[in-house]
Amino acid sequence: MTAPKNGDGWQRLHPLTPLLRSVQLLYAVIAGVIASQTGVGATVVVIFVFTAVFAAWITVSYLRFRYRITDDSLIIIHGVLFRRRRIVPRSRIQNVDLRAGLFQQLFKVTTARIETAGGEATEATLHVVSRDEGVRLRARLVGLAHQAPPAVPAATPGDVPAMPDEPLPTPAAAKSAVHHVSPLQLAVAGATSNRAGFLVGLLFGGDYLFDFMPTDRILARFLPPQYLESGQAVESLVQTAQQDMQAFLTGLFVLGIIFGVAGWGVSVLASVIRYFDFTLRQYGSELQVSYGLFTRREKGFRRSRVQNVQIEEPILRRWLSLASLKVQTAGYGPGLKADERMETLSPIIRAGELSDYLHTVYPELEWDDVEWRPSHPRARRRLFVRRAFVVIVASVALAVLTSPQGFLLLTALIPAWFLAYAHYRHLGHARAGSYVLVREGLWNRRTHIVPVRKIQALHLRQTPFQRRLGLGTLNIETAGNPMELHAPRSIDLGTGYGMEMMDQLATEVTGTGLTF
Amino acid sequence: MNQLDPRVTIAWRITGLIFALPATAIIGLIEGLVRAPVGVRLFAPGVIAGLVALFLVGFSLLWPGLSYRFWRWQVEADRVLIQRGVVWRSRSLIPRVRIQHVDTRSSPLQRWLGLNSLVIYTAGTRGADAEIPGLAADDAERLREELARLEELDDRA
Repeated sequence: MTAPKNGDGWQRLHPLTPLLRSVQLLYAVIAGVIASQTGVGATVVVIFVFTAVFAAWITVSYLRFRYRITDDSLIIIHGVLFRRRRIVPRSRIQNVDLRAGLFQQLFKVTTARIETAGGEATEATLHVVSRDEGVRLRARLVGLAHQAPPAVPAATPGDVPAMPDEPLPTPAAAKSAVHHVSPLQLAVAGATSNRAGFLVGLLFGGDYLFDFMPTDRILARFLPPQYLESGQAVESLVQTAQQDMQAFLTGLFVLGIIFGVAGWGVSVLASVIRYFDFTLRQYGSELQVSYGLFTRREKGFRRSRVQNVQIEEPILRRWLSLASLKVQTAGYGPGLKADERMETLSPIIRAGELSDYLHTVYPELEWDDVEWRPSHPRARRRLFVRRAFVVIVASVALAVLTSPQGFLLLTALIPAWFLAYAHYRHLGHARAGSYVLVREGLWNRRTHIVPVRKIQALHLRQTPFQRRLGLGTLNIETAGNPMELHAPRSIDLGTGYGMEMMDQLATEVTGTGLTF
Repeated sequence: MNQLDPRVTIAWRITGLIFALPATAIIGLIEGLVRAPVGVRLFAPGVIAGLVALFLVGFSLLWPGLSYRFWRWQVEADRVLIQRGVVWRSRSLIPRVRIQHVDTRSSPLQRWLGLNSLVIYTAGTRGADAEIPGLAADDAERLREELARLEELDDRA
């Protein structure tokens, strides 16, 4: 492999790359700290040597890194000790993401990640390029304006043929739709996500261990002073509980409110920061989203690469007729964090707008005409027994361990019955044109929309209890389903009906031929 | 639908027994280490390890028979069906147009018994979507070829 010349389209990363990577020099300091055990002289030498080595490494790797876009692929040459040449065919690229942290935003540079289907991690990372260069890369690699003419569909194993069936947009037709989400809407998104409960737990634990919230000072206003322990809200409360029931209940209530409000606040803040200035653009059949305050993310993908769409409606959102929308593009491997494995199409939208948004991804889907079919009625029995089991075990345990009054907990069977019925109402499946829709979930309802041609495999699974009731869960597998748990599935179909549905879908999948 | 080759139960039993050995040893070791400081006296030393060993051996001998009884597979013109599970049942369907590639593989034990496993991959994420573990080596080869033939159709298209 000869060193490429700058002339034939080979490009370097942004000149600021070494500077931004100089954070790695901190390793030298760490080494110095370790060496400081032995003496001052050794420390100086170690820090000097390590700094020199890391600086040289960063510089050389910057100098060695070249990339180039050809008609059909992205070629990257890099490596300090081991030289590597990586070729990513353009037809395999699922998305190109640009992500800029705070510093990178200041210098107007960004990290470009190129994702292909399959593979554990990101296929290629360009760290860092100027923002303009990033936008150009994305336009050239996923933009349809430059898409190569439909080639003969290759079929080597493990390969993912491109979908040349999308019409090429005329330049004037570009940017046909723009959706924007305001900070107020984002605050609502944070307030209605089911995260607050989790955050309350986190804050409570954090405060118990590190005492970073003024809880004890606030509690001091409500609890009798003799039970207060400085800096320990929980301990004070425990002390009070043994002496003064009324004060304890007041304190508990106050503490609950403090943590509730704080957890909610953090959830709102997190949502606003993460999705700040959320914008969805559509250029023909290419979709682009950009969002984030400190870390700015810009993602682009082709509509034809969307494997399935997920509508999330936690209970608070359902009450307010709101929802959020995510799409699975199969570009993200299991090596990525859970919330990075799907693209957010909108962090919050009104239920009435759903149809509009879904049209940007699935133009043929008529969301408003979807007729949901319920799961099998026996599902209610299973959903109730599942809850009843927990209630009965808990009340028996309580009765045995404390007093027979523990059996009073059995009254919880009544709300459990209502919950089971409510849960059942949120299970469902539907067909609409060439799409399958499935939904589940009581506290957080998830609706998946899967185009039949994206189905890879179908599974009908039965737990022993489902088997006794003649029920089964239909799992619909597409590429890139991050976790079995949140993959499209329809719970508690009648076994015969489920098998029929599976057969019918398989026949339709076969009808779509060898597309992906 | 087809059943697996009955010899697969032999492979499963032997694998189970091989696994039972170190598992028993580890339990025995833990039992020994815990007993000393805590001073728990069961009837005799090594009782827990013995029970575990008995359970594992029994399980390895009996379970494969059940597992075999519920295993069914079938290759049709346009789909592959696999049905399995003793307690948790599952029925998988893979449309043949979605098969990316097909492997056959065999462990030394399987080779000794003249068996092969057929592994089917689609573009779904979890690697192998379906595996038919105990097929007579010839059958597995023949099936692999047959399933690969559809991929060739695509080449000519």
